[in-house]
Amino acid sequence: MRTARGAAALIALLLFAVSPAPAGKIVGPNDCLQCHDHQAQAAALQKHPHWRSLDVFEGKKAKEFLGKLNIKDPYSEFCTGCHATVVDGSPDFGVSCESCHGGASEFLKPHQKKGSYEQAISLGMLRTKDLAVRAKNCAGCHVVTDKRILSAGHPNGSAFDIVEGSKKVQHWQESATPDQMKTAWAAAVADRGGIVVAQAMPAAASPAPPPPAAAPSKSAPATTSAPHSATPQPAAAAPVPLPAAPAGGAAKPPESRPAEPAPSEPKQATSPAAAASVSLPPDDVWTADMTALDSVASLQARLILVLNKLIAESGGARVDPGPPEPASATAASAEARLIDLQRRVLALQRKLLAPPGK
Amino acid sequence: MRATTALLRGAILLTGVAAALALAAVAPIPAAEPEAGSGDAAFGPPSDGCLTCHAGIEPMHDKVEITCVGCHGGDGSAKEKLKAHVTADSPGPFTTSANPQFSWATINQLPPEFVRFMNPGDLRIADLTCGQAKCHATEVNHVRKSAMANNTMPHNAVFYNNGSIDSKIPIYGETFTMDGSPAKVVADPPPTPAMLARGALKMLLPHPEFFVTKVRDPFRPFERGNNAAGDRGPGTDGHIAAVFLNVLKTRLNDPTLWLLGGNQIGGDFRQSGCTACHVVYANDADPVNSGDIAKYGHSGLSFTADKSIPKNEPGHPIVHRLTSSIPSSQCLTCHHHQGNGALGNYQGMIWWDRETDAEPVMKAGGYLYQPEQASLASHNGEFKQTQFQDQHGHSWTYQNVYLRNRRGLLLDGSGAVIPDEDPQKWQRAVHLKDIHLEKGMQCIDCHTHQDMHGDGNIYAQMTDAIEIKCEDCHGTVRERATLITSGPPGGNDLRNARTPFGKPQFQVRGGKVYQNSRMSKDVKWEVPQIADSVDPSSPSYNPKSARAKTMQVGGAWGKEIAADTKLAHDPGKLECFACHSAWNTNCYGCHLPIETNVRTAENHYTNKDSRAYAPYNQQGIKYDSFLLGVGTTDKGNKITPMRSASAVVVSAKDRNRNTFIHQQPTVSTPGFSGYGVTPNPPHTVRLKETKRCTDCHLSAANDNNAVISTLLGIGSNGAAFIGDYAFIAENGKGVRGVRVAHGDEPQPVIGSHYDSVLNPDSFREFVANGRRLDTSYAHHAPRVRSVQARGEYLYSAEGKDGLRIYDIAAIDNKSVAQRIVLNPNSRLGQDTTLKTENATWVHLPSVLPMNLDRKSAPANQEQRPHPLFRYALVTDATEGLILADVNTFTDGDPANNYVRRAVTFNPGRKLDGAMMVKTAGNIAYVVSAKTGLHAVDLSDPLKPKIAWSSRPAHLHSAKAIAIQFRYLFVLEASGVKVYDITNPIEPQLVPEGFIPVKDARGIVIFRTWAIIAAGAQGIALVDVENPEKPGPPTFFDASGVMDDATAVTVGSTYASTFAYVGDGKNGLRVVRLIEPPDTPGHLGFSPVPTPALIATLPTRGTVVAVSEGQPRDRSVDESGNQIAVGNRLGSRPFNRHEMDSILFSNGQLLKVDDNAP
Repeated sequence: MRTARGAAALIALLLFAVSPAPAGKIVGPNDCLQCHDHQAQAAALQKHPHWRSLDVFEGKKAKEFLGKLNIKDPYSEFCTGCHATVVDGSPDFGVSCESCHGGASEFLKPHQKKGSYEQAISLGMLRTKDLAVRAKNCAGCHVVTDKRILSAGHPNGSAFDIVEGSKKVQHWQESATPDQMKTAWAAAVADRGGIVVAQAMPAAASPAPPPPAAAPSKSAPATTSAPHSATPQPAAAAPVPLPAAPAGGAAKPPESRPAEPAPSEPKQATSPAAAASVSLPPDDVWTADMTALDSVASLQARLILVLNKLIAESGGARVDPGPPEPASATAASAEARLIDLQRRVLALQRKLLAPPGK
Repeated sequence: MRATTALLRGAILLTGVAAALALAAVAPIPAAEPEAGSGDAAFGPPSDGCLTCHAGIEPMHDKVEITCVGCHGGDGSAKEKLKAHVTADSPGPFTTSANPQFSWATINQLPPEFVRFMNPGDLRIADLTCGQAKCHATEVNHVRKSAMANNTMPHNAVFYNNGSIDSKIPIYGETFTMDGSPAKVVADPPPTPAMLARGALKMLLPHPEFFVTKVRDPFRPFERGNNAAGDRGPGTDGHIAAVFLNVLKTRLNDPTLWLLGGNQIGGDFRQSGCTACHVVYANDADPVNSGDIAKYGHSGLSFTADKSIPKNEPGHPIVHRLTSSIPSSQCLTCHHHQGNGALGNYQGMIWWDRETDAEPVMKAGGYLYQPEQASLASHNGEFKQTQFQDQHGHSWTYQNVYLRNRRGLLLDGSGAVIPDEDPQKWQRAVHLKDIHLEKGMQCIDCHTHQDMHGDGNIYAQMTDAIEIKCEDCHGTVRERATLITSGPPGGNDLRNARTPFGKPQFQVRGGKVYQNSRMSKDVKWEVPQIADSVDPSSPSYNPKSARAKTMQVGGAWGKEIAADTKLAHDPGKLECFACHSAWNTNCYGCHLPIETNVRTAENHYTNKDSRAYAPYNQQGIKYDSFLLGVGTTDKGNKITPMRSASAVVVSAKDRNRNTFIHQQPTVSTPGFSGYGVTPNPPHTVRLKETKRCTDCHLSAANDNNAVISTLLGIGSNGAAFIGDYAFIAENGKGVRGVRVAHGDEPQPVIGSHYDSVLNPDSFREFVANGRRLDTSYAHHAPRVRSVQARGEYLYSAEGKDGLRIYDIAAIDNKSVAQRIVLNPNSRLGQDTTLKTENATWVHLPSVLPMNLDRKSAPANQEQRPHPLFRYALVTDATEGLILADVNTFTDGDPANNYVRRAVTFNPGRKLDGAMMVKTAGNIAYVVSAKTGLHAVDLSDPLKPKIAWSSRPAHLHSAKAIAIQFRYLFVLEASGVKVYDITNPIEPQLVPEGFIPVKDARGIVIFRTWAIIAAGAQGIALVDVENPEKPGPPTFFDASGVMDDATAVTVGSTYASTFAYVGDGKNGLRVVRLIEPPDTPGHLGFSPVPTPALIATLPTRGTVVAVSEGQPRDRSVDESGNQIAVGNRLGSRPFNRHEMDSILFSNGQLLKVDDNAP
């Protein structure tokens, strides 16, 4: 644990639901293309809108759209979660290799050997051969459920056709039939909560800065979001859309997408249950054994601890950690609370780090 | 994710100090780099044995690990060197792990497995290593066919400019099979017609090993057995054109990628093939040129952790690692060549001109640098006139190029003159390296993957494979950059390119274009957009840019951007760098003295020795002038910068060391002079120090007549070549050749400062003897009035003896008693005289030899030479103007050595008393003491007509003229009068253009100076920068000894310029005009001359004329008739219509002002 890599993993654990498969760090398409540049993949990739997915930020509509959302910098996590490949914190590329295949830092070298597929899967490569895995991954971005950005005019994904979409990016031998693909897609969409229809824009967007972090998967707790039941997946007790890549550049979220801005969302009622079985960690979160902590509830608890430490430093009142998450709490409400906590931690941290007099 | 990262790091920092400390305490040191060849994931046979000796060696191939044996072959399990290594029975010079010096073609004799062991990137075997099917097969395949490998362009240009092959489409190129055999390369599938039109080739053949060739050059050829050098024998034995022997020996920009670099000195260290570029060497210690690796110096030493590699042996890469971060210093191991590559410009350097700061340079090391010498750059503190680069590729030395005004004085960034004595002058001076380099961009930051590797086609020219264009990154006046390459082979998306550090090379953020460096990690810059520079609402608005780029034909600019075709500087017709260049290099002189009696190795195919070798000797490397012309067909024949490349003269010595070819210019296949001009992107972009309006258009102040004349290729006498013999008309005695320069390289003018540096002993003796020249050869010709040397012949006007043409070939060493003979030796007979009544002057429309009988295939995309160049123009006081067909002296046909009178022209006896004729394009200006000045239209040479005659009142006793572009200077009784000949058939007398020099007898215009031979007053120097308002004359008579000055011409040698004065009864005088170190600003366009008499040849007769030198800056005449061959397909100097588009607007003379609002 006490290595740099361990620290990165710890940070990943802190914020997001975790997969037992080690989350690979995003290395960026350059490393992949060291080999695959000479193959059809690169040619296909570089002609595909995925590769150009950052271009929309420079397009004519972008200004208007971002204005509605009160986002000044589209290259912040709010948008890059889906629109970019973020390498070492920098959204340098559009949707690229690892967006679909998983962060490659762990499997980059091992997978170069013939017959290393299962090993690579165990090191974080996504099993894209599995239609359900693939569909869920696509749905992570192609189904947009955030009402706010939908209200601003963002497509919700209803127009997305997995069969045609796959053809555009196809650089593999497709064995699935269109019907199978559509079935898998339907399941993935359902898992995301269905296609959400855009609402009218809420009055006067709050001046709050964009949410600091990409949201984790809605299907947050690992235990409740096992992959598609039809797909035996040894190494993937993981929530199929891989965890997002947070600090230290841990795994990139293939399906991470803009968070729902917490302040404008009503808080969900909470009741204890799901997290009841999770014992709270010791007071000093940093020395805890993190491997046991894998639920949103425990992450919330850790954030509360962090928050209270920050408050203590700044001389404010402690935050009431509140009751544990109820078992019946929806993933959405848990996520909203998590985000709220993150925002508060960030705000306090900024305040503490600000130079005196400001 | 960055914010999240920061958040949590902040949280760590603030909440768990102790824990964080604990974490930090155990944070791992980055693991030591694994050694190459280790690790399970490495490809290739296990190589553990290699590490027994090579412990510490760096992994070559970062992302995909490959074992040692995977690349190099050999036995990776063996622990003994000889068992592990691949060995060769005859390794030639490859005896150590270092790249050997000058290995050249020896690599072709090595077994492929040894080549692979020595360099897995060598192109012979790269398809087994780098170029395996799933790896870099495309790149290896493309590079093998690229110009960087086969080097076809320079070789074929050499053949073509010598007239030795018929086709401008290259035929020969260098390619090898795996075992080193010469190979033919075939394009499969063959190129389409569209591809052919833009330079793609169907195939390339290896150079045949010639023993006999058809000899097309005008020289006495090398002959089989070399037993008859000197004869121009009709169909005797087989011959070989010297160029075929020499092209594989003399280094152009080669060796190229099939062979290793010279590996002798900083600037030459590299391997062959893929590794030539992708494994970098310590070549140049200048951080600007080498980026991060400059710290490793320039000695080709290794800094590897591999314990087995000696660290004191030159010829090793810096470390054992492939990279795509290639500094320009690595590119310059080939592209430094002034004559061909000319990309040293990018680093703000040119070849040393061999004379500037000659004294300290000779002390520090000399012309050809040796590895044991410290770099000349380390002596920069000792140099007063220039500064030098750190690298010495090919053992040459390279001088920096600085911003200077037209007078040659150094300027600082604000444009202020830097005093010569300023100790900080080099710090204040503006080193004119390309702005891209100055901002940190190496070659690879502009030139794409495809630019470097080629696109798989075989191309005629280097630029054919270049897809990048300025606008691809900088956009246009209307649109921001597309980042799609738009060169002919382009269409590729630059946003797909990535740096070696994993960044996209280009990013668009908030409408701005950013570029990440390929050389240095975490370095990026914004790419300025032209659209911003012309947009008044943009903070990047630049009114000068807006004015230039939005200027419409007619003068309106700025408000609205008109359609391209209405723009004065239509980007469809004008290359960006036609304006965006600070300077360009010109090779106004290159001497190749071939010695038959030297056995040297053929460098490229066999390494076999054969006779003949010619080194390079640049004699006119200059950056003082800027030329424009028409670019290649594949780039749309746009207006583009041109440069002289090169004005080659050839000498040759036979086996008895007799000189049988003596400083001869060549004649190209289409019949134009072989003094080629090449379109080139100068790679000298600067923000401020760029071309201004008056650099290319006539200025409102009318002070750029010489500049524009030079720009258009018409020339301004700035690079005339006299050579080591000056020819004079010695009335009363004969025609005479006078040795005025030393014959062996280097060839300083006798008595010059450079002579004193090179030959101190003979110089002292020369001075002690009163600076008297002692070698000259004459031929009896008592009535001689005028002489003009061209090629191997001297044309002479001799009163009632008429026109006589002498053979002056090999004057220095002729194998016969008479050095100048009237009849060339042809067994089929000859008569080189033409009787006239009273010949007074002879003039050749082109002093450069041309051959009007040559036919050129349409595929060569050449113009026809104007028929006027077939003739010598003779004035005769009785007969008027005579045209004599003298093409026989360049046509190489032994059966027609007769001069024929083509035209005698004296309508109404208007040309009676004709004294002199000179041409400006198709118009011959005849001056007569009796009838004044006449313009004779020779558009059809056989049907001349008088187009204009001067008013009798204007000229009295007119006797001589000189012409510079728009102005004609007439010497008459009262002094010098100036005519404006902008309209050549309606000259206008310029009222204020009078130069009050009495007894003016001869005149030459040199750049912005008129040099007038003024009898007893010596010579007068007059500033004619504005010919309509000449400055006051300054007289120079060498303390009174030069008192009969009658004729004058100028010649440039190295960085100096001399006047050759026919001082009447006193003989020939050599007067230094511009010369380092005495002339301030000697590197400028037109420095203020500092005359000094340096040598004299006393004569018995009266010297009345001096032959003009070869105008090496003249590629076209005033009517747009091409003189010099264009070195690229479709490229040529301007025709008259194109010149007019620069000089006129709506029928009016276009005059511009740099500072106009």
